[in-house]
Amino acid sequence: MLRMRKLAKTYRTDTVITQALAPFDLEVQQGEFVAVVGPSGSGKTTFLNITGLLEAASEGEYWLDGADVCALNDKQKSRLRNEKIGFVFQSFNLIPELNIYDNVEMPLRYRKLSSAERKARVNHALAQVGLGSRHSHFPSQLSGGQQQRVAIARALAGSPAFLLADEPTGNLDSKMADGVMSLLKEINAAGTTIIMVTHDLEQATQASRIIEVKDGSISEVKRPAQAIA
Amino acid sequence: MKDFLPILKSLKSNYIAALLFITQVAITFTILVNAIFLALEKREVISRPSGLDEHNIFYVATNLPVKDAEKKALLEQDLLRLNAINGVTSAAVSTGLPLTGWGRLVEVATKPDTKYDTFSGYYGGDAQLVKSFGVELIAGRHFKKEEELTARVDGYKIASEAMVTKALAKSLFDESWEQIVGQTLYINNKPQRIVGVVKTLQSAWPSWVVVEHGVISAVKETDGIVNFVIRTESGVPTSVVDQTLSYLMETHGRKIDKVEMFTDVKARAYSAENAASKTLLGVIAGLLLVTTLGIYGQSRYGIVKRFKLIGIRRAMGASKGEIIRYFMLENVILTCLGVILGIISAIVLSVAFSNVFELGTVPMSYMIYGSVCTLLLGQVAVFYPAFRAAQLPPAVATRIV
Repeated sequence: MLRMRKLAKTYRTDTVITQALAPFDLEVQQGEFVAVVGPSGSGKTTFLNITGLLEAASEGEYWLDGADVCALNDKQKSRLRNEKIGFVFQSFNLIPELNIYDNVEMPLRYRKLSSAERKARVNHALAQVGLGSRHSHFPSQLSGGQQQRVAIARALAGSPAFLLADEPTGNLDSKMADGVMSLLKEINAAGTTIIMVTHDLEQATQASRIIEVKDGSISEVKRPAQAIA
Repeated sequence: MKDFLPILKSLKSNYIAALLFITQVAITFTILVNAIFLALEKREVISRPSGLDEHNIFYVATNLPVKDAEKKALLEQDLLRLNAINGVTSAAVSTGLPLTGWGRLVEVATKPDTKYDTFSGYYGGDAQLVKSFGVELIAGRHFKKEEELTARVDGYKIASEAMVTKALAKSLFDESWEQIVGQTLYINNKPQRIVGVVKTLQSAWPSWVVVEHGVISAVKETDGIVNFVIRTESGVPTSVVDQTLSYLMETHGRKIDKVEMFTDVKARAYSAENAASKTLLGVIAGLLLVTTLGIYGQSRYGIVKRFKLIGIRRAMGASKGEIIRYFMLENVILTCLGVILGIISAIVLSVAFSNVFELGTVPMSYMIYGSVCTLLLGQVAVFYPAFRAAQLPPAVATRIV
């Protein structure tokens, strides 16, 4: 479903060339729950940006659901992002002026969907995360855990090929974090592929696979049991 | 249009900035429409035809420095000699010229028993005056040489034939104005038969309400200053002016009171209107510039404030074009609200102006053109900030702010 070959990212300024990610290969299969771990500054965010089509790789190949990402223009990438990827961010990234319903509906507005279908999808997604009765609330009226659930609903509403979660529990206390993690596991169990970036090893062990990013290189691919050991 | 509702909702939660923007647009629109209307109304006044062959006429105001009994003869001689100058199409004597600010007016009535129906400017001169003015005859006939009379002053008192302007004929006979030919009008209570109608001949005072009303009679006047109206072939050659003056100065005691091109007369008559209209156009240009910069600044600020939101939308699948359209549509919505408010206040201001200054009210077409221009102005001003916003990398969304 997701295949990367010798993908690398280098940042260039006039005087400095920084290797943010050394060439790496990666394949993720449909239905997997992959955790990407590594300390701050290791290149996790760069990995996430490239995987989420928010940034282009400097070299290598990236195939997403049969599409050669590197060959796409901005508009095609935007379309692919909209249809194939559901983002969940550490800081939720909800739009404060819009209520829960409108926030979840927002990515669907970039598709040619009837308003009835949009409505059905939003309602279904909100029900999935247990917020079916909070349509007209604004983000500021919800707890952090609830806001992250809204963000997950927004990501799910578009029926993406995979969820890309960036430290989804980073801004939450442990109880709320547990709630969000079990929600993600449920979603994964229901068939959605998840790629989660985290620095929390304990959470990473809940994934079916762990990828470690260290100093810009994707160094190891471990099974959860090995990570704990 | 998919962004329409989300934009409205965002504006609702950020209504102070939106209101400021709308107010700015409304004020600009109000001032713009009224100022353009005033400026164009003045330009229209300036460009009204005087009726004369404006570019080919000059006049000389001078005296007849002989005894009263000899004045008529001198005048005849002057006219003969001036008409003989090479390059002169027609020379005539007149009691005055349009737009000079100095002239005669008469009361005009259709019946002997009424005091008057209207006022009119008055020109008395020889039979060739109409030709020398270059005014166009549109009904009836010209004066005949044998109808020409000479008086010391107040020629209209002895005149028995007159020509009138179409505007005067229409004010008396409405749409059947052509029937005025052959009728008798009472000019300052003296019955006169109307022999012809000319298209346009303005009176001496450009701001007079009945500036288009004119009566011409074939009576030369010899007292005081006489005006020689000289029409030339194309432009007014200096040689013709020189020859005219050197001929006139052959007579002992002659004083040249004034020599002026008619184009200068007209420019002087409308100098205030001209200056006001130019000032207004300058103000309009300045206002447009300030408003464009204002909209640009506000849009830019609004966009910089929303970098993160732009990143989120991009991450959610908005293309660059969709980001540009979002901000341009937002601008259209705000500008439309401003324009609606502006139309209301422009009408109020225009009615107030027309009551206080006796001006016309701004016609609806100005509101329509004004709305279109304001919308375009808004779009031009917002395009660059919106374009820049669209260039933001979508990875902004993953940065923690």
